[in-house]
Amino acid sequence: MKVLEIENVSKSYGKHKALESLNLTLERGNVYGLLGPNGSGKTTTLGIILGVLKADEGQFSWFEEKYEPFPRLKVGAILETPNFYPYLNAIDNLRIVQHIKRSPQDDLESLLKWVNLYERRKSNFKSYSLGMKQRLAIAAALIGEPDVLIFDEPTNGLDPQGIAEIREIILKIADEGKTIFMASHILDEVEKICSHVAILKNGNLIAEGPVGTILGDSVILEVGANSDMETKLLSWIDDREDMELMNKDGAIFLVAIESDCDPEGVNRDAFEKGLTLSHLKIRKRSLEEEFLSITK
Amino acid sequence: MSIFQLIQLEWFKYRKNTTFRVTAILYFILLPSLPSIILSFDTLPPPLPSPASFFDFPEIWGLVAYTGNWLAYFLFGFLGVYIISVDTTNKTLRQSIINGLSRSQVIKAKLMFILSIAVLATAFYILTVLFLGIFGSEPYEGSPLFGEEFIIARYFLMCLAYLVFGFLIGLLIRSIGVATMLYFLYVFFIEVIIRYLVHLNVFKDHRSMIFYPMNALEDLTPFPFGGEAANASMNLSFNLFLSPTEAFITTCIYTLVFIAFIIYIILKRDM
Repeated sequence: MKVLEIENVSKSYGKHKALESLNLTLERGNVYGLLGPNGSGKTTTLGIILGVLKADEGQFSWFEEKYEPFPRLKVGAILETPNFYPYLNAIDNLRIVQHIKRSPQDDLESLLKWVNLYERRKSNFKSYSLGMKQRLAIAAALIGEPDVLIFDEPTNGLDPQGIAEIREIILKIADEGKTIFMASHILDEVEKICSHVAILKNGNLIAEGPVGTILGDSVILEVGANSDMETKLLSWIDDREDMELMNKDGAIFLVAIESDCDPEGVNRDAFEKGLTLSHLKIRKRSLEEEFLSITK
Repeated sequence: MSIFQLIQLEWFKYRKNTTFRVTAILYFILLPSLPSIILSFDTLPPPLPSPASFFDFPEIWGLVAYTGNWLAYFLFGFLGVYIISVDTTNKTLRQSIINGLSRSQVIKAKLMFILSIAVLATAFYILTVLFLGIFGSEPYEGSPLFGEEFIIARYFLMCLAYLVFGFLIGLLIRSIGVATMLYFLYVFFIEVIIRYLVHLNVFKDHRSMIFYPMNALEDLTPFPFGGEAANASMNLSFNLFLSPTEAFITTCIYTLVFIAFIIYIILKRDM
C-alpha cells in the first residue's frame, strides 16, 4: 500500500527554487532515508507533506487519500528541532499532543519510560539537554500509535552517546514494522537504518530506490604506496581508463572501479609499471561514497 | 474537534504559564481596587461631580469601565501579543499543525480562547461594578442599575479588540520582545503622532482624525463626564470624542478587519 505519494511538488523561496517537480512514493513498512546536502530541499519536502509549508505546484496524498483532513493519528513527526512549551514539563507537553491527536488512551508514563525520560518527567522542557528534548519529541511523535513516523535530522547536534540512543530508539520503532521517513545527512546512520533512500540535490531528486539498488555493483578499490611513490601512483590511476579517483583517506587512495575487477591483475599491472603497492583492498561502496559520487 | 476542546487545548498551554497568570491576577486585583483611587480626592475640578458620586449607579459602570480600559490597554494588548508569540517563538504553532490540527482549527482555537478571555473579563467587570456599586456607595438607595448605553457590550468589545490587535501584531512580528515593543509604541506614540501631526495638518481639523483604532477603543469606555471637560479645553470645530455608538461601530469594523488579517495570515503563511 502507498503510504505517501508526492506528485510534481515544487516550492520556491523568492527566486530560490527549493524543490523542483518532486515525485516520490513511500510504501508501507519501508524505512526511507531522504538524503541531500544542506539546502537540498529535505526539510522543505517534509514541511510540505506535513502541511506547514505550502507547495507552489503539485500535490501529495497520504494513504491513497486526498490531504484534507490531515490523518492525525496515522502520522507522527519531528521537523527540525523539538518544539514544546519551555515552561511545561514532559507530561504536560505530551498531554497537549495527546489532546490534539485525540488519543487519551495512551499511557504517557510508559511512553516516557520507553524513551528513557521517566525520571525527568516533571522537569520543565527548558531544563532538558538536546538529547532529552529529541527523545521527548520522539515520544510525542509516537502518541496515537501512528503508522508512519517522520524524522528530520533526528541526531543533529547530539553527542555520540545521544546519537547512539536515538538510533537505538529508531531501530526499535522500525522493528515494530512502522513506516519511517527520515531526512538526514549522516549517511552512516541512514545506511544502518534505512531500506530505501532518495537523494536530493538543489531541489531535484537525483536517485531513489532500495539501498542495495542505489549502491549497485560498484566497488571501491583501496590502493596505497610509499609516500615517495605517491606521484607515480596517481599517474598510474589516471592512466587506467577503468579507474576513477574518488577520495583520499590518509595514505590510502579510494578508487571507483568496475565490480568485475581482478585485484591480482591490478597488482600485476602496477608492478609492471614499476609501482609497488603497499595496500590493495577491494570492497563494496558505502552509501556515503555513493552519495558523494552522485552529488559531486 | 469541538470548539470546547479547542478552547481546552489553549487552556492546557497557558494555565501554568507565569506571564499569563500574573497578567490575569493583575487584572483581577486592579479592576476592583483602582477605581477607589478617586475616593482619595476630596473634590474634583468642575464640571466633574463629587468623587463619591462616581460610585453611584449608573455612573459606576462608566468608572469601572474606564479603569478596565486602561488595564486592557496594557494587559490585554500585551496578552494578545503573548498568546500568539509563545507559539510562534517556540514553533509550537507549527508543531500543532504537524501533530494534526488543521489551520482552520488553529484559528478557531486562538480566536475562541481570546473570546473566552474577553467574556471572563467582562463577567468580572459586571461583578466588580455590582460589588462596588452596592457596597461602595453608602447608602445604596436602589437607584437604577443601568443608565449607560449598552456599556457591557462596549466593555466586552473593548477587551476583545485589544486582545485581537495585540494578537495581530504578535502574529506579524513573531518575536515576543519586538512585538510587545511595537504594540506599545503604536498605542502610545505612533497613532497619536499620525493623528495629531499628520492627519490634523493634512486634513485640516477634519473629524476623521478621531476614527483611528486606538482612539475608537478608548472612546468605547471613556472617563465619566470627561468628554465635556476635554471638549471645553480644545478649540476644535468638532467633538473630539466618538459617541458610544460611533465608537462601537468603528471598533467592530476594526476588530473584524484585524480578525480577517489573522485568518488570512494563518491560512496562507508558511509556518
